Amino acid sequence: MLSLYITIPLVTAFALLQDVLLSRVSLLGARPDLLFLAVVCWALLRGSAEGVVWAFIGGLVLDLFSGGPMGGLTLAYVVVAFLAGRQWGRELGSAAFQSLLLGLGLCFLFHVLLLLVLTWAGHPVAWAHSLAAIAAPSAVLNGVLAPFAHWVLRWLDRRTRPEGLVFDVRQPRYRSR
Amino acid sequence: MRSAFWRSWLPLLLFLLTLTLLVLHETQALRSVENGLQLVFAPLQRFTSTLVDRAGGLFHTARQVRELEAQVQQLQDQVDALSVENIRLQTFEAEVTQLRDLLGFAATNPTWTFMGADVVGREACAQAPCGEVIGQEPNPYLRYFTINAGAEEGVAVGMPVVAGGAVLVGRVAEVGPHTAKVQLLSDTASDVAAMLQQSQATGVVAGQPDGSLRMLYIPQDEPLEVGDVVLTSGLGGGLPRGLVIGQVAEVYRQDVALFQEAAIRPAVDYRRVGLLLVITSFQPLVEEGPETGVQP
Repeated sequence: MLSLYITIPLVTAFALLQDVLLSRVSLLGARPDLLFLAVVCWALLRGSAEGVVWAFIGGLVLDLFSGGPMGGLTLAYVVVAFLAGRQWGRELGSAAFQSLLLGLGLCFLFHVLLLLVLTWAGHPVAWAHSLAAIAAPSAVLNGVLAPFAHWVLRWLDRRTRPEGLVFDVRQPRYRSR
Repeated sequence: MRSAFWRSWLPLLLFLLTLTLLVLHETQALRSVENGLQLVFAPLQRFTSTLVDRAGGLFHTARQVRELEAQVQQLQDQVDALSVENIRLQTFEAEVTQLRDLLGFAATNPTWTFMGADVVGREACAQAPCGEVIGQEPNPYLRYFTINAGAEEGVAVGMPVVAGGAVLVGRVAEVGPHTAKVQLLSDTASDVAAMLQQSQATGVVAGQPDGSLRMLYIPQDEPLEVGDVVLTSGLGGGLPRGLVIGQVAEVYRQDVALFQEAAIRPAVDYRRVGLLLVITSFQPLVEEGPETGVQP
């Protein structure tokens, strides 16, 4: 597992950039989500456990900056990280294609979870508009961005993987050289 | 072996921890912890914000473009200032008319006693906390700002937040030691008692899911035209009277409906405001927080 001394500053930096810079960006309703991309791609590369740790740390930082219920964003990130780290769809094609599909589907699920938490907290939610005008475009945008994020994080994965271990894309488990 | 055990149970553990956080937040049990964490993260947030703003400036390399941008900004500021000033003058004109009527009313009732009352005390920036926007809302379904003024500076839940002089931007929804979260008028949970400047007809300005504003519950028989200025009415005691909200952009009138509705064009672009003013001298009458349903 990547050291917490690296994980905490790195994920906090992702969350800060998301809050300060990317929250201002909206392309036809779609919002790029740096933390989502990082969490999903890292879970894809390293499995659910590491993805969930990233999701928990980054989600907490964003929840501190949010006017919504504390833990709402964290919950959504943790769930998508857990699902991204499962062994689903490995036979569908290249890692880039897998990340695209996962980014697309899980981003939509992420937004549905956010809306569910807001509904539970008593915030008025316009479901049809939110899903059509924000969730769907965001899912497409983050799905398209996911292969690029995966490419960058794969570099980090290779640099930080313990010696004597290699990573097999088709069978994403550690094995000895 | 132990590592494998943790790997398999860690997701469930963190999931349960997150659920606990959600529940504890709703019961306000986490307030002191959140305040402590905000003390740590607010400077980081501000530093990143400054860094990003400065880095963004590097992209504008052509000097002429910069000069033109500055000129456009200057002119835009002048237009904004003049628009607000114009609206304020119109308000004063309406107020003078009302006072003349009142004076006439007093003159015709010489045995009664009257006391003048000014509802809003607007303070200068040097006296009231001036909040600089340091963070945007990371949740795409909420519309909040984080500002760098909090309880230590005298900010409290429910206080109105204005920009550009007298333009209402929103209300303080949560307060930390040195930061506060401002719920914008465009948030879907935001409802503000409002009135039309010309006809004095009242209604409610509510935030819409797409981030726009709409004035609801305007009586059918009230005259309503595009360009009418919308102000806070002060009804309910949650906000001072006379703060500018925007102008009517479109009128929705149906013969079969009980009320008219109007799309409101905000007087300022909420996405571009940088410096805000919190009116601390106004004490909301609603003790349980702003009318929006946001818990203090």
